[in-house]
Amino acid sequence: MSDQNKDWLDAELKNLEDLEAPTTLLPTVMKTVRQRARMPWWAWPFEPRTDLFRSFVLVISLFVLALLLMVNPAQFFSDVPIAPALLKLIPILLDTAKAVLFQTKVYHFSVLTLLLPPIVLSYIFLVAAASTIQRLAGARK
Amino acid sequence: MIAAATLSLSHFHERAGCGLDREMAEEKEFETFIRNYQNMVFSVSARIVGNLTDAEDITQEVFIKAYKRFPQLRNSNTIGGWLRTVATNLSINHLNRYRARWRFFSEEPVEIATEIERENSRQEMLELAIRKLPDAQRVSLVLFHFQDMSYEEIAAKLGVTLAKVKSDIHRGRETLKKLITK
Repeated sequence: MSDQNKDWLDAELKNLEDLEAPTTLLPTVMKTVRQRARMPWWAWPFEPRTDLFRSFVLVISLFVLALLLMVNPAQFFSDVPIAPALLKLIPILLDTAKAVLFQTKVYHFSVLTLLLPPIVLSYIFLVAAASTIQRLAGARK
Repeated sequence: MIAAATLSLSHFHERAGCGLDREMAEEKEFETFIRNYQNMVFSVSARIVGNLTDAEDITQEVFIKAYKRFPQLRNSNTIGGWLRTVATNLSINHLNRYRARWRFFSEEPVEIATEIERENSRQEMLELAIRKLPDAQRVSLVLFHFQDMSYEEIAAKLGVTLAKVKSDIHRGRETLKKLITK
């Protein structure tokens, strides 16, 4: 390795000044900052649009899942003579799941009542942990 | 009773006004903060990514990250270092994400710019020449000469071998010298 080139470059770089940032930079950043400042505190975690989209998809998915469990659309097809065996099995499975979740009691509580809090709490814990890791990674940067 | 209500209303207005003033003052302070550091952050990004448009986007991202941490950063002595590190990391991430990974980390030699506009000042020529270097050479060279990182630190940061870093920096210097002194 030639040290001559290193010395030459070090000497050249001594006179090198910072580049001029574009004039559009400051207004763009300030616009984003003002938009953020106007947001309510609870919307901050959802600020990036992708996160907002993910949360929206999650809520919709949970809603559809609950709706499927309640309505059980497969029951409308189970009486059709040409319906495949799987289609006849789905309503039975859903009814069983419903019965287990809502009717089975453990210490006077339904299984759903017992399962829901740990599920929600573990989801909140995972989100909080992910956010903390992200924050720590950001701090390390 | 009316007097009490008026008093409490005026107190509320006063407090709301104070909050608004404080927000405006914070905004002004952050604006000054950007003005002070924007050239440095932009230079770090531009020299690493070699593209002014991408560098502007990265600089914006850096300041938005800084805004989120502004209460802690505003009184910190290491604010410049923090901005420099975030700009460097985001620029490297950008290269990893948007350019062909195999090319950036490839051990194969890549094409080298052969000419730059001669009508610029020496500083401008040097800036242009740095931007025209192949990614691998430019990133290693900038981290070594501008960020004062050691060969080992650069190799660890880029996830490449020490030999590759040394060779990239060596080749980068040679190319720069050729471009400038031609």
